[in-house]
Amino acid sequence: MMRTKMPAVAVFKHCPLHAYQSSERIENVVVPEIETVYALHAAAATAALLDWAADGQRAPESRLLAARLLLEPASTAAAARQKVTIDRAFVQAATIGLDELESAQHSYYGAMFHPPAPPGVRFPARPAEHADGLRKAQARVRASAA
Amino acid sequence: MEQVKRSGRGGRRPGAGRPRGSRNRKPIVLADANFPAASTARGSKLGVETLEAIARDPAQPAASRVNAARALLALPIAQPKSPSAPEQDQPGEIIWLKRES
Repeated sequence: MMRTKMPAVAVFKHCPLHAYQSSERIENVVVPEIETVYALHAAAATAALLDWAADGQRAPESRLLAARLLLEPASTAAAARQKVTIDRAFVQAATIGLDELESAQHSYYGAMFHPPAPPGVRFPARPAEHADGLRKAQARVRASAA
Repeated sequence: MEQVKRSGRGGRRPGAGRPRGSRNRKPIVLADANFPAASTARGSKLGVETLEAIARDPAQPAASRVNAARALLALPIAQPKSPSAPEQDQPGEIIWLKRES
């Protein structure tokens, strides 16, 4: 079954910024996280990038970027020097579905089939207006696929 | 005790080795105006704080700490560019495709 890419409302340093979130969140949360991921990559902080890609509290866009950078040959070389193992399957599993419309979670910024927040941790909540827009878009995709 | 090479090759020879004071060929400045971690552009404060945390953390690998410190100090080092470097060099600007839905 063909999966639909999450629609993008903006692009920042070649990273598509997803719809169904406010411009304030994009400017104040997502963009700084993308810059941080680039900084971690420049510092060859492979372990930190691995944690970032799997961290449900981080924006999907920055997690996807961390995964993409981890799977680059340069990251593999840096990991070998640092004796850090990049489990490629883990990286792909940690971020699968984050860029797909059908998989997007309504109540927070993540994917439906990823593990929920552990006790004591709260993922950033998606406001109701954006959650409703997301549900409607998903319903349209399902209806067109039927 | 001075060791004498039997092979006749290597060791101290006239003209061998790197001349004193020679410069690297293509220094790549990590922390320049376009590098987000050391710039004052929007959102870079978090990147700078992250690099500082990496540089100070004794649990981090030595290579990461050194690279983070160099990025903060804006020291030029010779380093091959990673494939993602062209994206890092992009100006820190959000390109809006359409307004939020």
